[in-house]
Amino acid sequence: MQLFFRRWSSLTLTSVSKTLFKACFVSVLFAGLFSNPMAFAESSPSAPEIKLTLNWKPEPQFGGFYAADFSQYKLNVQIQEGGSGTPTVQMLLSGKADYAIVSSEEILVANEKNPKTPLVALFAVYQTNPQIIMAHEERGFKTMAEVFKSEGTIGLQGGLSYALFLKKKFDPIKAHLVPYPGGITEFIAKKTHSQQGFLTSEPLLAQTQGQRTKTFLVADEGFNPYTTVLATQASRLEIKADEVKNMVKATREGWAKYLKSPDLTNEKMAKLNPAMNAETFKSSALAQKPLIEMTASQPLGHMSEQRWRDLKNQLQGLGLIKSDINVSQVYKNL
Amino acid sequence: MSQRVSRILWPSLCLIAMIAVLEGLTRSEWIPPYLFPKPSEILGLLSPSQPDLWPAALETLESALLGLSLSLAVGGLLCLISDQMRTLKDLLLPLSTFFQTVPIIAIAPLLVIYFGFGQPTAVASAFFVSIFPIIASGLLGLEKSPPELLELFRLWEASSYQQLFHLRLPFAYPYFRAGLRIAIGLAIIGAIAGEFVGGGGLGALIDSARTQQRLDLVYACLLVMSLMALALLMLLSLAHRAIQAWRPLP
Amino acid sequence: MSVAVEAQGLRFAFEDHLVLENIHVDVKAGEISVILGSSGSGKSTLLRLLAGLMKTTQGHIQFSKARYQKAFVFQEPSLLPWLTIEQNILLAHRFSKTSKPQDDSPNLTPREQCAEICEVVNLKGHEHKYPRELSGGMKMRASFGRALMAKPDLLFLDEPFSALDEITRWDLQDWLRGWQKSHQISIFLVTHSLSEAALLADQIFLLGQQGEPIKARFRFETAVERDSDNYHHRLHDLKSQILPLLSQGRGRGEM
Repeated sequence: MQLFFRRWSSLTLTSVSKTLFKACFVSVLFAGLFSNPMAFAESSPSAPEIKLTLNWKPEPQFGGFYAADFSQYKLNVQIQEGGSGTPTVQMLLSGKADYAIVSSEEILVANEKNPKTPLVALFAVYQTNPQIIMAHEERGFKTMAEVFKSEGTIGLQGGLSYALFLKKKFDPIKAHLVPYPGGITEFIAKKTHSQQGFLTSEPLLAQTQGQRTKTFLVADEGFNPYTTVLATQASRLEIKADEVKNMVKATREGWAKYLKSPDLTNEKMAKLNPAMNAETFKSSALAQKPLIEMTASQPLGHMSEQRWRDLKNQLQGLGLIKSDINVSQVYKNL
Repeated sequence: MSQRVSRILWPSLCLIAMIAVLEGLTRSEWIPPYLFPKPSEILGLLSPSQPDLWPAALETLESALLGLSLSLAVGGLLCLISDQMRTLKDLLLPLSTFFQTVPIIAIAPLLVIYFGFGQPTAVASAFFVSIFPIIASGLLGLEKSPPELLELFRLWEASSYQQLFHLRLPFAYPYFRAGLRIAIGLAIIGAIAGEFVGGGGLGALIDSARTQQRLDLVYACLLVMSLMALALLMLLSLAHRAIQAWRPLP
Repeated sequence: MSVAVEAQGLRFAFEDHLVLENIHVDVKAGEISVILGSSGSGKSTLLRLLAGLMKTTQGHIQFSKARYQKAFVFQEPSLLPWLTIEQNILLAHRFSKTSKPQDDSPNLTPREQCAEICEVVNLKGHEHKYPRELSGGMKMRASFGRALMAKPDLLFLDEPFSALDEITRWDLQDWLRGWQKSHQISIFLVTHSLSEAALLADQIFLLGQQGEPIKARFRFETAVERDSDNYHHRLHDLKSQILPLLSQGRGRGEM
């Protein structure tokens, strides 16, 4: 009887411990997938590291962030640069980034897909969308419509909302739409190639390479979302309201400083991004000023509900979002 | 229950169970949607009424098959020629091994420069990855004829062509077939890598879906990719059975 | 019909390695000549030189007929596994036509000739089977059948029975004796088996070590039957003469 009990208990013990082990393993695995890496950093004595991830390389587009003095507000901000295809939205959702630069369309789409983890927009750098289509001046195009309705290739990143907007607007399109990997290599190689870009970036780069460019603003075609938007998880806004407020304050001051005197910050960024030379930095910082500066008496980065509502309607029209989102929850002016 | 039926039945049931569990986890958002979409959504995208997926898949399939056919033609020809020319063979074998290690993702952007945007790059990419396993397996297989049979053919004063057709190609067949199986999978991967850079087909669709945060579409594309590869491998199997019925090659 | 062969001063070296030196062989038409030796004596090499599969480094070989048909049977049956027995035999027929000026039996189609041959080698009823379906002995008989399809004037056999079990071996040896006696084809048979040599040979060439000339030569005027007294005498004589010859300079008594 004793023997039987012992054997039975050792059997259950092994099977129980096996199950326990498996459960531990699985939960550690999932914990690792979903946990916020911040949880570990918080235990350290120094100020917790705050990750701010950009969606492109350091350029005047992010000048204000590099110019900002976060330490003044006791914020230990680490700026992580991005590149082609950096998934800043996913990084915010999974907690790999605490703050990130996204586009306003991305926020609407993400919030519809992940209603449990909504994102909130805090500061819109560009009041006017600087997305452009850049063509060679020699081709003599007068409007963006002409670019799409003529022979040639257009480098356009397939899934982008403004790409879909333009495809719909200029349907039927004669030009051949091809992928856009970043940079201006193909543009320099072929005169028949046009491409997407940022007003402050690609055309200036191309000009330093001896190209003559003609640019057309997407905003002029009727699609003008807030661009280069600082965002975070809505839950962070609730839990760490003060930190978020200070982030926005520091950002605003940084941008004010950068707009007035960008040179020192440009130097800092140029070291991180050798692909752009000092002159281009300068001309780009100059070119973007009118897109950032506020017309009304509103502070830098301020967002209006009307603009968000217009964007929501346009995205619905393009089929990128299906339901009716309450846009007032999507942004917060601090 | 027959052994054959049970060998298919139990794994299938396991697979269905796994998918059901996944569906439960994603529906309850134990796995959040930005990490993995619901399996039901993925499978829903496979229906023929979806406008994007199947036309893109057909385009990719076409590019892959074109690239593969070119590999077979050029690769087969190179094998036969270098079989007769020792220097060429000694050059080709290490080259093939080397190029099999170069990742196509790194080469595809170069191919766009030479072949331009669109299908030519996808075909070139598929060709580039699929030709080397064909050459390597073909050259290896041609060495595998038993020496006494080679002697016998020599005794019969058979011509090189007769030797090749009646003896060496049949013995090379199993190796060639193994190389072809690998080449099929690689051709599809190559086509998609080319499409990432050059546009078109599933590659462009995956890229676009990723930009729009449509994970369900990305997974649907991957699923279709696998189904394509499986279908081609099944065709190869059928062809093999037909050949075996005609002549039971080794 | 059959061929006489005379070879003088044969020498074969392979990459600094002397395999055969100063070998003389002469064979009358219609005889079974056995090349006897232990492993590594160069007997397979000699056979291949005589068959023209390899080129001598020195020496010449003369055949009594300018054009003759030869066939080779290996130690392994070496049948093409994806062809049936019939198809294997017919393939040989296709290729062997080249050396032979004209077919002897224009009345029979190749397939009919093949059926005849299958009878001769006792494979009737198995023609449509694949090699993997046959036993070792049957495969060997098929290999013989393939050789016979060529209607050879000269048959080269490289230890054809050594991979078989004893009973099958006896079976095939008896069959070979019988067939050769009725057809009077010249045969070169390589073997390491004294008993096989005693049973089948009209003439034995004994090879010693590599690089040595023919150690001994034996001629027999009469044929012997298996297990007859003549056979046992012959075997005993051979043993007593051969074994001391082979152990010269080697210190080993057994072959």
